[in-house]
Amino acid sequence: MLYVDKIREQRHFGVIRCPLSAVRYAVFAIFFLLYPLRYAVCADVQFEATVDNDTVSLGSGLQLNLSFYGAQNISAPNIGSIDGFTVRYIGPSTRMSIVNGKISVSITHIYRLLPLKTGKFKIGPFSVNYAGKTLTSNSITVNVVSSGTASPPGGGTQPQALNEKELSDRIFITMEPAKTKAYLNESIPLVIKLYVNHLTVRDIQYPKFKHEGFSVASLGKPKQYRQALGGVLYDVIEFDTHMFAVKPGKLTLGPAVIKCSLVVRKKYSHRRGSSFDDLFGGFDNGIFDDFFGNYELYPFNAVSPQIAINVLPLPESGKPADFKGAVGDFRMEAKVSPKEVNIGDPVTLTMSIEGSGNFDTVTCPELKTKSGFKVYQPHKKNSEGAKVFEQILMPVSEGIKNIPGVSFSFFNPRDGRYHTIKKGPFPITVKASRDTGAKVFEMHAPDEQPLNIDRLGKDIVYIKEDPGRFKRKGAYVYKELSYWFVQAALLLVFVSWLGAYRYNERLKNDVIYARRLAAPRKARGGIKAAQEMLKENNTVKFFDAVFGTLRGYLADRFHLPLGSITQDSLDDVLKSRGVNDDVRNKIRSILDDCDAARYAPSEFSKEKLENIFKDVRNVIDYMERKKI
Amino acid sequence: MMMRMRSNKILVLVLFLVLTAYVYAKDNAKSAGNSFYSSSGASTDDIRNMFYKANAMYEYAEYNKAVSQYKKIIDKGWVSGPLFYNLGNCYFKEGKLGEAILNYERAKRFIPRDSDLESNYKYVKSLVKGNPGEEKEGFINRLFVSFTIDETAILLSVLYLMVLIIMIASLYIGLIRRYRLLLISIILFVFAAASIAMHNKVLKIKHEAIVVKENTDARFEPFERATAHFTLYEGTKVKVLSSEDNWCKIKRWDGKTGWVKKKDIEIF
Repeated sequence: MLYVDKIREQRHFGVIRCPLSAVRYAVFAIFFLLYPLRYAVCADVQFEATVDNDTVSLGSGLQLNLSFYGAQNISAPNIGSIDGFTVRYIGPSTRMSIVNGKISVSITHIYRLLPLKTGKFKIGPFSVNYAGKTLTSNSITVNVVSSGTASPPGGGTQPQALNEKELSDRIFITMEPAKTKAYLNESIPLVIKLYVNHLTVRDIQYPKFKHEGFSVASLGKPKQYRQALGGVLYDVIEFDTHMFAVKPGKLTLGPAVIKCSLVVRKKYSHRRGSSFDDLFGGFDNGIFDDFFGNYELYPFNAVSPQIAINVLPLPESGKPADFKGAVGDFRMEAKVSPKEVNIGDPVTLTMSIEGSGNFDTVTCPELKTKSGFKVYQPHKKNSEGAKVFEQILMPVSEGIKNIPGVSFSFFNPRDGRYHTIKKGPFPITVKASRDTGAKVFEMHAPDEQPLNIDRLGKDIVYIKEDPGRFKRKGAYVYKELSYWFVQAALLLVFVSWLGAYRYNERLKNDVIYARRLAAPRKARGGIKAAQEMLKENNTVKFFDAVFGTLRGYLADRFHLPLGSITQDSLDDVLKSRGVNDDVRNKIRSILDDCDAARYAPSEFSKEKLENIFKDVRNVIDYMERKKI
Repeated sequence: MMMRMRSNKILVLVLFLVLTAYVYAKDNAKSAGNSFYSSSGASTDDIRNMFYKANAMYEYAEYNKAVSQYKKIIDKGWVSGPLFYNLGNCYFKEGKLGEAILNYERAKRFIPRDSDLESNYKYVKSLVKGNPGEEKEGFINRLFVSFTIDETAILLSVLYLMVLIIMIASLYIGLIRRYRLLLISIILFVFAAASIAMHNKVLKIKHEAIVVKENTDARFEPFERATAHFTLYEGTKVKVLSSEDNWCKIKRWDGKTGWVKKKDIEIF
């Protein structure tokens, strides 16, 4: 029995004392331990080789990146020697990113290649064995030229001369519509990308392009990432948007133009010796030249090629009667509330159209019939991937059993056909209004207004459509606690600010006050020094520290010139300030001991030194406590 | 130097405290959002929809339905200027001058600078029998007549902050130091005036009333049998001086006082 209890207690303990965070840590730890394992198991690893520049001059380096996407536990592949280059392994760089809950990992092994001779060289393909599989990379062709004709020395970070041909390889834009054959009004995603390779580009503006015959949505926030293209790594800025054609025929899109500024080193930069350049190659340019302002901005327009888009008109055959031009793939939901109303009460018919396509062309679905109802202008709400219409209807007679059905037609460009969605009719119950005068309400009732004020030739202004800001009945700002809280807080700031200001002013102007205030802090430093000397058994220095501290403290405390302190004058001052005899005697004896120690330091035993030290502390404590 | 650092530390500490206080106050205001200004919550969406519904009824000349719909919003504890304005319009269309003026008066406490309201109020008032005059407002009250109570409260807070800022700034800036006295006395004068106006505004709450019965007699004493003093027509604004169980002592614009039955007037 006892035994069982004990066990239960232990278990109980185990549960209680294991805090949640510990559990969480454990889970994380296990997750991370298993992490590489997971990726080792799922062997969907991609192997890619890239270089930072595909044209390189003799004497400057080239960076080769071997990237493995989907794994991080791959060691550096032995790539042996590459024809035309010396190879040096720099190190690995790992990357892990979580985008929308999707984890992607990669490792990049970086090598430095130095070209040995000019010509075209093929780098790769490389093969690596990983998890029993052989991964093979792409190959890259690198052009090695004699120095002077290619990128500048020193790592090639900046173009020295702006060569048009070279530039077009290093900065260019592409414009890619999702399709080049589309129907009228069909939504076409459009992607404009700016590729930049090893150039410093500033002031990048949103792309502009000719889009005659197209309606284009505004460009969203650009995405930024890196992408390898033909073995060269580019920084990519991507702009996404949607557009749709508003007239049929063969239309041309573009060219797209992105205005930007290239940061270019000035040509007349002061030359340093080439050896010096080599020594600091790679980083000195950035620091020194930036510092001396040797860069200038060079305006640049990147231009994309034009794109022809064939816009097909919507087919005439099978076009439904209620088709209003909606193009896309849509679904529709419709509901009615409330289901039970009095005559004259509004009923809301909510129709939400979801799907993909051109929502600009989506109009409110048509009611089959409007008889028996007063129909208002529908409200519409737009949101991402959906459009909601709220149609308010007012039944005008008792006999109405349902809200008429609605239909919505659209053209689906995917199958090239028209579709019609029908919903309803929706059953409702309409009751006679409670008050007998319900028939007052006729379609055109203005001349039956209860108060005939027309004869006055004046009437009141119409009601307000917007309710403004609703407020709790009887609520006022001045009744809120937070209002007074803020006022009190402001006062607190003010008072403390004033206090701090006064304090600073007094320190500046009142020397006596300032010295007195500083005295204990200074003394604390001195006492600390003395304590250390005491520990080291350094009698002479100990007395120096004690003497200096005590004398300095007393001088600051009573505003005496440091040099003029003598035993007698000090005693008089202390007496006049009402320092008691005991303390005065202590001070006197300490100062006496200090004098004596100068001539015969060896006479003082460790114990005695400790007593003196204690006395000094007591004296200072006493002064501080008594506020003399 | 050391001293300076210490005082700076204190300053930083105080600033930190105040910042915390502000954040707290803001949080407080946010959490009080339900009880104070409406935020974009589900409940206020409902209320807005109720409002639109009532507007639709008004559009179809279903005035008494619109009234009950607007009143449902008030019963839920929410009010706004346009709400009372629309309610006033409904009552007017129904021919109830007293209720119309009452609701315009209520709306004026929320949207005092609204021109539609001003014009409707003036027009409806011109239809009140007995040609009631307007009690002369004091100079200070007239200055702040187009501010709501909340706006006045915030104005006061801003003025107060300005005084504190000027005092602090005068420690550091010579020009401000020279004109400090003048500046502060001007601000304090405005502050005092705004406080008085605010005080009067707050006092008026629940101490003003509109006659809602067509003709009602103000009597010398709070009894049915007491002698009638003067007649009050529907829509006349009166001041409530005191009230007993079923009777209120009121004061007319011309200064005459009398007792009327509580149910004949509507205090707001």
